[in-house]
Formats: sequence, structure tokens, C-alpha cells
Amino acid sequence: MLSIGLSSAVLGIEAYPVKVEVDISSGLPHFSTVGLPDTAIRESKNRVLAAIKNSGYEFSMKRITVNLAPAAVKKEGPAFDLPIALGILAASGQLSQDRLQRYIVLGELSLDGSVRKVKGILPIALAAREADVDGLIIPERNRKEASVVERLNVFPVKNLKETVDFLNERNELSSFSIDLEEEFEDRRNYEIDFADVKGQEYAKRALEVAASGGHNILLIGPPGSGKTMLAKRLPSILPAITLDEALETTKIHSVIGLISSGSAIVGTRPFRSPHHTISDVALIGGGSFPRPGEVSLAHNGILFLDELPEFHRNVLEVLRQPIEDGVVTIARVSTALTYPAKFMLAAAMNPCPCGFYGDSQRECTCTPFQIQKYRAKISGPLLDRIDMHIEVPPVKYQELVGEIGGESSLTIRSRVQMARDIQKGRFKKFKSIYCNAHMEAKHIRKYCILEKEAEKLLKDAIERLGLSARAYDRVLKVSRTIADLEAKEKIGSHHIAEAIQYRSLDRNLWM
Amino acid sequence: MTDNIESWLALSMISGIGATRCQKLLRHFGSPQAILGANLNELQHVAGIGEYTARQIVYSRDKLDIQKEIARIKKQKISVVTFSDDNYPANLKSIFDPPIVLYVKGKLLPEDRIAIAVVGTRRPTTYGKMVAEKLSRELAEREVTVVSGLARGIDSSAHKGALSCGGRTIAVLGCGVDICYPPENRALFDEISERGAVVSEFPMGTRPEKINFPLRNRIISGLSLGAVIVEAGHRSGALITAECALEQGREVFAVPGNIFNLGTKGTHSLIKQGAKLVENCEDIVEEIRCLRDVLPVSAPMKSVSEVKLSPEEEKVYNVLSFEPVHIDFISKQSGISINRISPVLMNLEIKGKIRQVAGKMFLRIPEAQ
Repeated sequence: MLSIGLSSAVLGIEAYPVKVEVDISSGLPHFSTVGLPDTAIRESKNRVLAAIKNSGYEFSMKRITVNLAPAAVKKEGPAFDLPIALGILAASGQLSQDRLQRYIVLGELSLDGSVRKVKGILPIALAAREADVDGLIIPERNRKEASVVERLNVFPVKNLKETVDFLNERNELSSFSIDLEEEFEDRRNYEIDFADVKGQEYAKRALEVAASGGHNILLIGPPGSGKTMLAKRLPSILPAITLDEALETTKIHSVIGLISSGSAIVGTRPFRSPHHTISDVALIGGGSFPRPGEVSLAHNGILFLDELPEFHRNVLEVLRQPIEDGVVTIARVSTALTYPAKFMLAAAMNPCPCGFYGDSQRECTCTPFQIQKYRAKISGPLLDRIDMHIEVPPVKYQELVGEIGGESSLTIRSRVQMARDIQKGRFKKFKSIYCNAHMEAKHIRKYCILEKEAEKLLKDAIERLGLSARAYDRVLKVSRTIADLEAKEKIGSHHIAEAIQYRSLDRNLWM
Repeated sequence: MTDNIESWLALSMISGIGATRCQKLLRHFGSPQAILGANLNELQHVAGIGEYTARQIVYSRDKLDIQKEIARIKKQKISVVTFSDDNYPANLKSIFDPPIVLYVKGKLLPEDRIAIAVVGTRRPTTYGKMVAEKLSRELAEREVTVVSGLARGIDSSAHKGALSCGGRTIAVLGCGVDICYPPENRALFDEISERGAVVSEFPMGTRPEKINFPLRNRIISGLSLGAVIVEAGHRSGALITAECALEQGREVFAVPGNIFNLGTKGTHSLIKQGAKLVENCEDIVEEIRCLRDVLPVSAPMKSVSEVKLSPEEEKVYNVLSFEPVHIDFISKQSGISINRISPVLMNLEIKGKIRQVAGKMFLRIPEAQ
């Protein structure tokens, strides 16, 4: 007998429907799965058969063929366990065929018949809403993630028996829903705050400027100076994430299976900090079953690369395109996938391989050649995409001038928000620009109008302080942001002066 | 003449005999040709040359390819000054173990007799670098040639200081003059060979081996009337230069530093042993008679126009010292908020009153005296 059930799978960050067809015919005992399954799906026959038996259903081994349609697309993961089990039961007459076709079903099975959590529920739920079905049957531990989608009946199930009983109308399951707004509000608080940072006034100010203009930053300082601590707090001063942004980010995190069972939605800006041994595929996304990389997981948040020069060179080079475009496109012979990757880059490095160059307390043991080699690992084109260089002093100075209880992240964020609002107004008519960091040459000429004095100062600085020409546009962009923080129309000389302080790598101070 | 140079070169390149034994042989035989022509028996009877050394001389003198060396020298526009030449540096001639040939890239002038060595650690502090630059500049302004070793750190600063005011400087290398070591000093190397001289006693293509540098140090002090040690840890190579200077009867000067900094242990122990403490160029000039005699009493002063500072700039300038301090500290001490302090610091920088170093640290630039 033949049964047809519905399920779904994810390609990129969008879901597509999958039909699970099961045919049982007489013949020698045999179980085969077709439709380009991966190993996890092929192994599902063992889980499925054990789960059926252990849930108390009858099963006699015959010739079973499972087809996952469309047959031309590769499928992966154990999420088809539950629909295959239901299909076998329906084909063997133990389950109502009609009701099975009214639900999209997903879930991994344990040998004892209980249903386990799977990945990619949010995009699947979004697609399910558009499909002509009565609801979505999912593992109980995925229920919050799925309930983010409104106007969709979500039926969480604990085990195979419960599912079968529900489909046979022997018991009633209530559809699960949450108040999304409330859930979102609950999750919007950051656990860390800028008020925890002692001293570091200069670095804090620099981060405020960076957050206001969406500028990519490079933190430079000896080990233990607090670069990571500062960067981790960066999301907390960025403008609060909007519900739309949160849904986009949640979708990507859902595909990887990062949403914990207790939470429905990512309510804070993500902070991703991959280790420097990461491969280019892991950073950008891809692989034979394409999955989003760290840049996409950092979508609408911060991508923090600690020890920047230690990253493999090819890894840093592939980073250039997403920084520029805000998306990652992965081309395969059969298809091209696009993952969103709109992030702010925060990188950190030591001033030299040993870390103590320029430190008055510890002696640097590196030769100039080593230092040069270390710096040269970051290519010019990548450095060109980083607007601000922020030097973080060694601990001694923090102790000298530090006081606990600086401004809280919330206070800083309100100023950042104001500056962002000004920028939003400025770039209304441009689709791809939403903050100063994304200005191109023509926008810079149009919007970065200098006062006379400021112009003279910039000229002096370039002549007398050995500032490279490469720095020119970046100084203008950053000074635009600083002026926005003061709600000034024109850029004054003190805005320029401050922006120049954030270009230390251009000044050969580090050689 | 070329014949002559050839034999000098050959003598210098014989392995197993250094400057001291060369001098002994020269005193005995009179000329390098005679040494090269002597037989084993004759060589063996020179005081201080045993059988083993004599055999080595005979063995290696036949294997030398002097023509190849000459070709290399010509190709790279390098001149060779031999011990018997008139333009062999007079100061160097008077030391116990002068090199018998000097490879010179650039020109040695008679004025180079008035020379002071400025040397120090390869890992200097900002303070050390500033002192080395300042002293060398002041010396060069008084037309004193600055001698140093082209090493990283203080040596490089010393050369730069002398070149910055168009003065003369000599770099003494621990490798062949066709090799630039350390490689990052390439530009400096070229500038010195154009406007001063790069000097070495080692044959072309000699690698910068560890053992060459102490030998090189005796030439640095030997070329000079005195040696200024700017910053040196307790085992720094600069202390070898100081020792050589003492053996050669030259003056030794030392610049004091911060007592908490380990990099000043060497200079401070020199001062304890009686080296003259140097604060400015006058301290050096005063000590060396011929400097006093030759040089104009008051050095040419650069006219410094008084720069006007705004009240805010004044406030910030007063917070700063010659030790670098961080921008947070400056903001705190001057009471100017962190987002207002940048323009003040930058204006001071543009006016040439202060200087920024790595790590957002600022310090005063010493006033010209």
C-alpha cells in the first residue's frame, strides 16, 4: 500500500516542501530510501523501525520503499524520521491516510519512540503558513521557535504514540502559541553593560562613535588590556534590534539549530566571535550541504575577530565581499544561495607578536622585521574597509585613572540612536545605505561639508603628521559621524581632529 | 698601486690571522708582499706566529681568489683603504689592533677625525631614541661626525639625527659592506653611503655573524675621539664599545635614564665607574680638548620662533612630560573631556610641541637649547 505525507526541508534560509512517500509491497524484506538522502536519513530506517516497535505498533518486515520528493534535491538530517514512521504506519493501515496529508511533520525519533529537536524550524514554519495545510507537527522542544510565526497552528509532540493518536483523533492536541511582542520584550536585555568597564574613557568614546556610524573597527592593545571585554559590550550600545531584524537573524540561527528550546526569538544583536583557526567556508558559509557561516550568524550584529593577524589569509580575503555587499552568495552547479550578512566588523590585534610593543612596563621581544611581518598579514584592501583604529592602553593606565561606574550602555545607546536617526533621514532615498560607514566617494563629497577651519586642519594634518592619503575619505566619514553625535550640519575642526586620532595605523606610529 | 691593494686584500683575507697578528707580521716583514712571499720557515720564526699559524698562512694564501674580490668591489663602487694609505683614518691608526684594510662605501674625509661615537641598545625606549637623535643632531650641527653601528634602536636613531641636519655620519658594519643588516635599515644604509660612509673591515659577502660585532665595536670607538653610550642594559654590546674606547684611550660618556628601567643598568654602571654624565652636547664638547679648539664656541643656533599656545593647549602641555602618558590620563588631569581633547592634542602636535607614540600616548618634545 502507498501513503503520502508532508514534510519540509531548508535550502539556504528558505524552506521548500518535501513529500514523504512510503510504499509497502510484498516481497523479500527490504528497506530502501531514495531521493538523494544523506547518511543520517539512510540510517533513519533503524531508528524508525525500532521506534514503531517500541511504541507498541505492529510491524512485519516487507518490501518498503521511501521516496523523498522532489527527488533531485539533496536532503540531509534526521528530521524525516517522524514523517517516515507515520508513512509506514499509514501504509500498513494503522493510521488515517487523509489526516496525515493535512499536516506538515518534522522530528527526529529515538529508539523508544520519543521525538527529538531538529534544526531549521523557523523558515519551515514560515513556509508552512503559506501552504494549504491544517498545521505543523513538530518536536515539543522546538515549539517556541515555531510559534513565532503567527496565524499558524503549531502542534508540539513528545513521542510517536502521541502523534499517531492525534492523527487518528484518539486524543486532542492544543495548538501552541505565544505572545510574540511580550516574548521579544523579555529577551531584549543585555547581560553585560558598559558601566562595568573601569576607565578606558578614550576607547569607550571611540566605540560610541563606531556604533553611531556603523564603522568597522580594529582594536589594538597588549594582551589583557580589555579589547575583548570592550568589543563584547558593543552590541549593547547599538540601536535596539527591531522585530523585523530579529526575525531575520532568528531565521539564520534556526537553520544552524542555535535557538535553544527555551527561547523563541533572538532579542539582542548577535555577537559572534569565531576562533582564528576557522576555515573560510565556516566563516562565509557553504559546504556540500550549504549552511550559513559566521558572517551570516552575525547578521544585524557584531562579528568579532580576535587576534586578527592569526586568521588564515584566505579567510580574511573572503571577508571583503560580505563587508561590502551585506550578503553572501554561494554558487553551486545546481543553484545559487544567498545568505544575508549585514554585520559590523570588530577586530582586535596585539601591537606585535609578543604583545608588548610600546608598553612601558613590559619589554617587547620582537624584532622590527617580525613586527612588520605580523602587521603585513592584514592586507591593504581589508584594512581599507576598517574606518577606525582604536588603541587600548595596558592595564596600568586603567588603574591610574579608572573609576567604576561610568555611563551605562543605555545612556550611550540613546545618543547613538539619535545619531542614527539623523543618518536615516539623510540616506532615505538610497536603498543600500543606512549609516555613514556605507557612504561612497560621491556621497562623501555631498554630505561631508567641512568648515573652513576644519579644511585647513585636515590639510595641515596630512602634511605635517604624515597621514596617508588613503586615510582621507575615512577621516571624513568618521568626522561626519562625530558631527552627527552633536547634531551639527557642518563638520568642524574638532570633529576632524578626533577622527584623525582614530587613524593611528596610517601614521607610522607603530613602526 | 692595484698590485699593492691586491696584496693588502690578500693579507686581510687569509683565514686564521686577525688584525693583531697582521700587525706583528707587518712589523717583521715590512710589507704585505713580503709576507705573502715568505716561506714557511721564515713565517714560523716571527714572534707570536707558531707553526700551526704559519702553515695556515701558506695553505690559504694560495687558495685566495683576489681577482674575484676586486671585481666585486669595482662592480659595487666600493673603495678600499689600506693601512698604508694616507687617507686611512688617523684615529684608527693609533689603536692597538687596527684593521689592515677598510672597505668603504661612500667617502672618508679628513674632517672625520673630529668624530664622536653614539651607540646603545637595540631595544630602546622612546626616551632613548629621542636622546640619541637630539645628541647626534647637535653634534652634527657643530660639524662633528657621528659614528655608530647601523644596528636597530639607538644606532639607527643616532644616524638619523646626524642626517636630519645634513651632518656627516659613519656606519661601521659587522658584515660585508655589500650586505645591509638589519635589512629594514636599507634606506638609511643608502643615505649614509651617499652622505657619509659605510665602513667595514670584513671582506665582501661576509654574513653578519655574532662574533663580528664585538670586533666591529673596536672600530666604532677607534674612529672616534669619544663614545657616548645612550641606553644599555647590563649585558649590552654597547658596553663592549665603551670598554674598547677605554682601552684605546678615548673618552667615555653615558646618558642617565630612568632607574626603574632595566635598560639603563649598563649606562648607570658606567657612570658609577667614572664615565662622564651627559645631558647635552656641551658636556661632550667640554671634555674633548680638540673639539674645543676646533669648534666655534657657540654652536650655530637655529632660530626658534616662540609658538603661541591657547589657554587650553597650555593646560594640556603642562600635564605632559617627557615620559609618554595615555590620552585618558591627560583628559583626567587637564579636566578636558575625552571628546574635546583630541583637537587640543592635535594642534600641539602640529605646532611641534608634543609628539604621539604607539598606544595613544603623548609626550613633550624637548625644546631646542
